[in-house]
Amino acid sequence: MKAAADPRRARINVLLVEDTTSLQLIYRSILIAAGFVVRVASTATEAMAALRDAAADAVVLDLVLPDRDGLALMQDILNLRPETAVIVVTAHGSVNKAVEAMRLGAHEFLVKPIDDARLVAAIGNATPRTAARPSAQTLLPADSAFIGSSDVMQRLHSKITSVAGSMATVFITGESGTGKELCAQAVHDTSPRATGPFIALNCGAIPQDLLESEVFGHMKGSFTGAISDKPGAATAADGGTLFLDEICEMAMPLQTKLLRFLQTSTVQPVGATRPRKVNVRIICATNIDPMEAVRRGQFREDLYYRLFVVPIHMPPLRARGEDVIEIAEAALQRFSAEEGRVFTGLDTQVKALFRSHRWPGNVRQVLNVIRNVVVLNDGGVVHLHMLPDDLRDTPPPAAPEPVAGGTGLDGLVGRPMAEIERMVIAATLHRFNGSVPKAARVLEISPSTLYRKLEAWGGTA
Amino acid sequence: MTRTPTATDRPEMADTEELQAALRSVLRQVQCLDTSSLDPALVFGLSGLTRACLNLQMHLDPQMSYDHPPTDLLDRTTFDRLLELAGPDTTADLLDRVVEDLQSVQQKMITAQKPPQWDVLRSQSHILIGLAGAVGAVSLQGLSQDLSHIANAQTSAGIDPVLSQLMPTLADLIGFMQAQRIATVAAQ
Repeated sequence: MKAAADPRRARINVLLVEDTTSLQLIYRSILIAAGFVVRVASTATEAMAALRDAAADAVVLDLVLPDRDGLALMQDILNLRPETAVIVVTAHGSVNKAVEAMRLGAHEFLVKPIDDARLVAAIGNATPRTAARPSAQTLLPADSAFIGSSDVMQRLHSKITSVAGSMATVFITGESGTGKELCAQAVHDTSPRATGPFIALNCGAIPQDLLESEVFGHMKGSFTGAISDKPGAATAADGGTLFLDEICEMAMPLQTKLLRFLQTSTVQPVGATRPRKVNVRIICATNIDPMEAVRRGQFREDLYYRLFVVPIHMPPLRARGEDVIEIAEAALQRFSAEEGRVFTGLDTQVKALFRSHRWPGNVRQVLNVIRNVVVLNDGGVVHLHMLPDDLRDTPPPAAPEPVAGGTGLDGLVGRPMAEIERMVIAATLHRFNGSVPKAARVLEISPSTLYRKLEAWGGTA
Repeated sequence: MTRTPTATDRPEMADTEELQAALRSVLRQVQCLDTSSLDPALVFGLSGLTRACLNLQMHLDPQMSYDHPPTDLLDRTTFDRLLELAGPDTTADLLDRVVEDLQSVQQKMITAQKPPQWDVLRSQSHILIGLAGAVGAVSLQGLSQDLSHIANAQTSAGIDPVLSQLMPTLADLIGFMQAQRIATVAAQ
């Protein structure tokens, strides 16, 4: 895809730092053709001199330079010119470094070989003052999972807005029913790719022997039943976004192919002799801890680092405070209209129950409950007796008791693994007077993992 | 009476194919030589031999070198788009730089093979991934990525099979780029 010249880019100054002379000329040609004002530097020394001489809106920085480490140079650039957007360029083998670069303040990283459209888009996204970007408030979906004014959701909205303009891969984690696909759709809809396709594929719902064909496509006759050519999801998403849900369910051989796809941006349908280049942004999601899947050998570590660039954690409903009431009331209004009923609201007892319920099925469960109420009742205010029996009869959650020092296996046998984990964490925190870092050290997990678990449990273990 | 050959005479098809194969073989061998320890006069002579082989290749079949690179060597669409981006004024310069960088990688890889100098192999595979991908040499890009993996892991066992594919492919790409350069200058 050729990036057409845009007159608005004539005001955007780009410093290109690349020591391989042919690549420097190639990237420079791409940027000039797209309308940017381009200066070049072949070494870290030249780059710093150029930036002392004049600021740049964006710096395209190759991490491997002859005179200095690219990351160290990036930090100096950001110290000298904090307003500069640094776009890091790296080849395979230094992806971990690129992830580190993002954490140190890089705006974006691109993997060599660089697609010209991606390069131009990355700079365009990095310099929003010249490119009118849509407001997140106007584009974030009004779907149920996104309703809610809790702080955690406000932060989520802000993160989606920030990441949408980038090409960085987004890795969404969260329990079932928290709205991971809606989040992916929101990133796509708010991004410059919004006019392109959004293709969602659930890796856990498709038999593994068909998954390769679903992702990469196949040619007629390549296997029994392949009666015609079929473009895969990766090809269908060309110019847009490919959302891979339940990514950790993907079989190892296919993970290898996905990794190659991410490295080369090319797809080779089953039975095809030649690969084809595509321009796709990847968003993936899982409802398990992906790092844990890596530790168990279920998920490739290199693929994890390739994908886990910008993580977004969808909070469970029980950690979102009053959002459950807002979601339930919005759903009541919507389903009432759809079913031709008139419901006027939730009574205080229902609200109290909704606030105290753990909602293991999250937003999806709330919607099912409200749909049930609307379908089976005539209207008016929703009272306790209108709720499904299983919800009404659920006892309020009790905090698990800390495991006493002398409790042996007998006290744990018969309990679900999730409860055992929670009990052990509660007891460990208790032993260290609530210190998360100390408890995390003893449990040999990262503090962030522990914080995430606590957040999922509503703030307390 | 023996007829004097004219410029339009071409060998028979079978002879042409054999000769092309022989020329490719010579080019690969010349390009894979470690020239760093050779006498400069010999290096100059080898570059003349390379040019002569390339000219002969193009004389045998001008279309083959210029318009139809082997499909497993190059994605023509990507390459043409690159030349279009560079524009006619910059094309020759671009091809010069590409050849120069590819040859530099080639020479460094030759000297870094045995015993493996992992830092060199890693840095050169880094360059080759970007460069091969930019010109549309998809298979070379993939081999470079394989080499990068090996260099990062420093697994000596895997290096020979990859290099045995990578080096001839790299030599072929250099040959193609050199032929492009000759054709570009001739067209100007």
